[in-house]
Amino acid sequence: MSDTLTVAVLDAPPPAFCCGREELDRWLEHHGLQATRSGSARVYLAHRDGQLVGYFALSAGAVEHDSAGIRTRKGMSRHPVPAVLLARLAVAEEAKGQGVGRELVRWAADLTVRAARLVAVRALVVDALDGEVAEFYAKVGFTPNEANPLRLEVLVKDLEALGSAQTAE
Amino acid sequence: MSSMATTGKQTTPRLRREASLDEVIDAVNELAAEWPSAGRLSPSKPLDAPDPSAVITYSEEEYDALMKRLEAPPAPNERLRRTMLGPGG
Repeated sequence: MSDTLTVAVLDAPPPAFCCGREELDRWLEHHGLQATRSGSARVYLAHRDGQLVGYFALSAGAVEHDSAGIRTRKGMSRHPVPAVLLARLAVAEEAKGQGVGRELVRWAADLTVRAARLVAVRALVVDALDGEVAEFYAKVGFTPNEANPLRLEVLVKDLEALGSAQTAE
Repeated sequence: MSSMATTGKQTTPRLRREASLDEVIDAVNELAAEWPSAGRLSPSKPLDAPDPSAVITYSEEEYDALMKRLEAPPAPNERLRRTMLGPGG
């Protein structure tokens, strides 16, 4: 089995997908393509050895200044802070425990950095579905918002400092 | 642990003893906003004699929580670095 994921924008009805959370499966099946086509979210499918192993969705957004994390709002004027929202991320049941979730986050982070070169983006932000999901995001490097532990953030400047997107050119 | 701030004028107490961290921060900000126009620091009103009504008291836990927030990571954390290195990193 290859470790390499192939990631591409969803541009056709997706194949069957089961991650164990019905709302995420259903969203991909019924709304993913429409979201990408309408511009409300861009959905990316990850394949490994021809099998769909996960997906994630990114949207442009903003975080209210007062509700942004301390580092996220530091030095920013009191306007909404521009951000990329990690709107969905799911790993197929059969691919869990193999680092796919972390790889999807890396892809999302790389794409965020690339977007930030064209349009100002301060952070990549995710609203976790529950505490268990929030733990996953903390484990892969997101910082929990001090006032809302289900919201987690990563600064684009931190991603840039780590050389994110340099290999994705 | 406690900290004190004074404006040198009579002010109403802004905090309850059991005030939350956010309330503490709001109260400090209110005091700070008053400071520039106050001009109340003078040899006759030394810092070691604050107006009792302008004293903010908070618990050790609240102080620790505040410091933790102020000392948020200054650089990318190790977990993020591992993620961004990718599977071969």
